Amino acid sequence: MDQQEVFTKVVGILKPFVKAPEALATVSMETSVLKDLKVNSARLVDVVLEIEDTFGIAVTDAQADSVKTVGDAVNLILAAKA
Amino acid sequence: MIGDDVVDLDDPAIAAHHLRPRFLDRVLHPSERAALSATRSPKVFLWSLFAAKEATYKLVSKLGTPVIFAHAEFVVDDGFRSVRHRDVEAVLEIETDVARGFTHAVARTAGSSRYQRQVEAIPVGADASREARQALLRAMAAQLECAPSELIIERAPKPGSWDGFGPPRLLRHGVPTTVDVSLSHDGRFVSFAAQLW
Repeated sequence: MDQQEVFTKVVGILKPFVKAPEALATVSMETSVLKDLKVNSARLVDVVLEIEDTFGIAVTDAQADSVKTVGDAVNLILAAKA
Repeated sequence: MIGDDVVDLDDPAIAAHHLRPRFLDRVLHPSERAALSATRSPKVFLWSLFAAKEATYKLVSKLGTPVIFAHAEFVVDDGFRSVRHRDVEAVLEIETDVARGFTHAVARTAGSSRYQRQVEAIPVGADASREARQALLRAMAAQLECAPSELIIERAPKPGSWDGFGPPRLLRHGVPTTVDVSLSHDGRFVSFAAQLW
């Protein structure tokens, strides 16, 4: 699974939880999950659970806490799948 | 130090989380899960716990030691009177208004008894961050007996935080005050808490 494929899946996971859907039009690896997409903290837990299910990985609280951008999530997944 | 958090209980997106074991495992301590299973209002109970943890995280983040936000490590006592995170114990006060549809948690360090809290409903489509700040400024202007225009809320840069900025601070004439403040918003509500002295 390459970076673009993971990125597309991550954006798909985030989509239902985004409170600023207009930001999805320009979403990139640098887009902030909380600040730009306005995913709130309760929904961020949902996102982490979805990522675990979709990619078959376990995400620790420390790893989840380190995810600030879409790219952070993508890189975390790629590292876990490597 | 003080932290607060408000949850819109009528947000359809959170209607069934109290029935989702994996979500509960992720955010609750085993003692909280046991208490949740015994309550008659599990949804309100869950989101009051969640708000308490969020409020305490904001408080602990101000104490200087970097902290990972692992919800289950913030443990609310069974009477909703305190929250413990490692060696920090915060005094907790929860206000829940089921009719209006919110629960609001305020966590504060022991000994800081003089504080003010408030929850306001906001119009649909309003800028929630702005509304929360305006509510806090109005209240603090009344407390400090000054014009709201004398006050501003500032967040100093803080690399590594979720948005690159630290917690909000209240400044008067550009000088930091001794009032510690916290802001929150969720759905139809904004809130603040302010530790006055």
